[in-house]
Amino acid sequence: MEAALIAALPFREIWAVDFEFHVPPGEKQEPACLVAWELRSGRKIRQWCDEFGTTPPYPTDAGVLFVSYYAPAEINCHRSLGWAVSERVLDLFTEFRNLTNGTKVIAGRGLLGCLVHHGLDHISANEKTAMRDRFIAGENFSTWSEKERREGLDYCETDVKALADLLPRMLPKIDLPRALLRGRYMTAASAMEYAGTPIDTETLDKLLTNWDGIKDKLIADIDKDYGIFDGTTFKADRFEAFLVAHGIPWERLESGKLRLDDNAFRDAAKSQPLIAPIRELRHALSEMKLNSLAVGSDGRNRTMLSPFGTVTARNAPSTTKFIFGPSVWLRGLIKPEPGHGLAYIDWSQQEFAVAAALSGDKAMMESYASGDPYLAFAKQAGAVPADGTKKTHEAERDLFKTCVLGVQYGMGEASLALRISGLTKYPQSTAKDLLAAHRRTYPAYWAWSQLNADHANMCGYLQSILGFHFYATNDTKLRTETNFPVQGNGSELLRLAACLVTEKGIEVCAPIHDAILIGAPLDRLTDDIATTQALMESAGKSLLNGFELRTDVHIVAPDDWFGSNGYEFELYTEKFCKKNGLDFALGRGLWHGPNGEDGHVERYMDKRGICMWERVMKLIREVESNG
Amino acid sequence: MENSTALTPPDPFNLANLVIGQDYLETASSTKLLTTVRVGKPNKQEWFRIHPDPAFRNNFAILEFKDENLVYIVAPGMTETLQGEIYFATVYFGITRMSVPFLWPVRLPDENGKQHECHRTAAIGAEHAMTKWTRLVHNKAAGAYDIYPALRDPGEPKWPDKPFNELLRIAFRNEGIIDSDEHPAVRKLFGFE
Repeated sequence: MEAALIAALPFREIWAVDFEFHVPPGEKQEPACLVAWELRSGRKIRQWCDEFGTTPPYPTDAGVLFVSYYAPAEINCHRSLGWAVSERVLDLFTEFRNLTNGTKVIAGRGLLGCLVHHGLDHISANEKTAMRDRFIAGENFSTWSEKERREGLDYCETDVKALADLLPRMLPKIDLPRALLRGRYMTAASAMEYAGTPIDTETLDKLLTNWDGIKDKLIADIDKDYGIFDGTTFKADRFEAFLVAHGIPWERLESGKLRLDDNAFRDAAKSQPLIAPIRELRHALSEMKLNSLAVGSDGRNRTMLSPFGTVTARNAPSTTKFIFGPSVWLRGLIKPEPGHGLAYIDWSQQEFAVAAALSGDKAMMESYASGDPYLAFAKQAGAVPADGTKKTHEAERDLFKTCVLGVQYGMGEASLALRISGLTKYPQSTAKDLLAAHRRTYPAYWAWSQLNADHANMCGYLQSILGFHFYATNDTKLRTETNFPVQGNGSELLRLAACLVTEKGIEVCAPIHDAILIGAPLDRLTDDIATTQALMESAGKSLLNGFELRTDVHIVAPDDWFGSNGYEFELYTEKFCKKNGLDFALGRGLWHGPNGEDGHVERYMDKRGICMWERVMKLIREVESNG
Repeated sequence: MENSTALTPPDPFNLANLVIGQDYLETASSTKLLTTVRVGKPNKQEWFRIHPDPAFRNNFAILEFKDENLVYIVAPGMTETLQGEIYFATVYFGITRMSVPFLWPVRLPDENGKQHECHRTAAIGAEHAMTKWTRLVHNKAAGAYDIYPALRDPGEPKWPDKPFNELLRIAFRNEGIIDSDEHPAVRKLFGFE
């Protein structure tokens, strides 16, 4: 039966492959050994690192299936060895995710957990850990004795045997064409993991060296406007008094105490600019682990992207190792190497567009096509006249924008009221009216959203446009059921775009939610940006019934590059500087491109993090100048 | 092995064969069952429309217990028994901006042709709402309703796909229609309960 399943696979050869390798934080894989089994003929390959050739010991063309568990690791061993990458990848990790997404699994989603889930034999965890530690430690592999090599290869082979056992067990449940598409993305993910993001290591070193020394000064600098710290201790009672004095509503726990976790601060900071610096400070003091940022010897930040890591199948890289994980101000560490530029390209309002296109809501599609869906929604709901603009009706637009974003995450009246508390005097009734207006204006969207929830509850699952599943259980919340169709399909868009862009040979440094960061030599930057935008837009069309998604670009390049490419410089306004605690006299600003792009000189900068970045850099300069 | 070269592996680059349409959701599709139709006038904050089709209004004898907020339709055979307790009204079918359907009895002039200003202006409001979103607010000083048309047109309402008789049945159910002197409302009115 099992042999018949393997025999029926439409491939010339089927190779189950596993490498053991050493990969220090931020570095590329250093392969130690390889075991590969051809599952039809029974041919077995065992190679130690000094036996590796210039090409893989198995074919990699489209007629051959490459089977592994979390393929980017194996694929990047190929890259490190200069080997061709397999054209058809079946990753049993993604397939296990796809078979169990939304449900609890008893032993995790690693290879061991997958074996346990399928009732298959597995070697003891202790035995595995002991040998794995030797590989992780990266002992000079070429000096291992014959016996050590044999034991190492035996260890490696247990994982290949696991693949050989798992494949026939999982095959009846695998949707092969779409599984191969997921495998295609794992190849793209490996390319992104391998490329990594360029980091300003000099500034990172300064931060690491001075962080403890500037902490107290940073607290004093920010807290002078708030008075809520006692030394380095955040005082909840002082914070409560501050909230009362400024009329800022705040979520409370059942006990009546203020909810003081980072999510509460992050949510509040979105509508209350006064809270943002406090949130950044608290986050920096308690959760930021600068030492964990994985930066390799070539100055690139590399870490596992953990594709399909969330319920909505988005990537889930470590929040401390990945440069886009910690506070946004630390993104200022992203800096292209000399002669290179970076571009952060994202879809404009991706979730709104996905919801509009898939629900077929005409008003929603028109709203997106207008270029400013938030203002268009306000007009459709009658809150802004037809000739109103972002400038003339900024306040109304902000309210409708918050409502649109809130609805996308299943926000109810109470949460929306809290979110808009900084925007209106009457948050409760306004939240109620906004949600009612959304339901009235976009009835087809709401019907589609309900249909998804109904399907999840009646049939027990939902699936994305490219067949990634979400299984509903008794514990599944309605919010999760209505969130999956938007976020899950948004993640499909990103995966397809990442495939298309990496396959064109463009360097993708990182995927970030609905964006990708590309890098290129300056003489190629314009072309690579245009190609990436075109590919992202074509991915949207392919998956959303021809619906046109727009993209936005934020470029990091030297000053003279912008000047010679038709960009115009604009200083941040005094209002913006004041709102973000910036010194207007510093003359910071944005470059604006002819097609709506914008950009920063020298380093990547997220608008939300400019204030904190400037404060920290100023303090470091002070510490350094004082010796 | 010889045969395997003739196999055609699935192509992960051919998206046209991989995209799953949203029609898969239709296995769970449903429409909301209309189970309730409110009886009474729209409240002063509600924007509403009245169905313009004459098939969606009719004249009935009405018995009302104001304190309990109960409204009954009196069958023709019972109007004589309940004379003095009932009034005649046109029952309009309407819908609010929040898509809440309602039946609204608006009192007709009495047998002498006299009609309270409130009822007259309510009837004008109902007629107005046949073409425009409208709000009705009681004006105590004037003893009448003020009629507010919407300043902008948010579009036509989505009317439930039910005939008027069915809407009446849903609104009044069995006990809402008085067709014998055994009806609890009649027994209560005559002091039997």
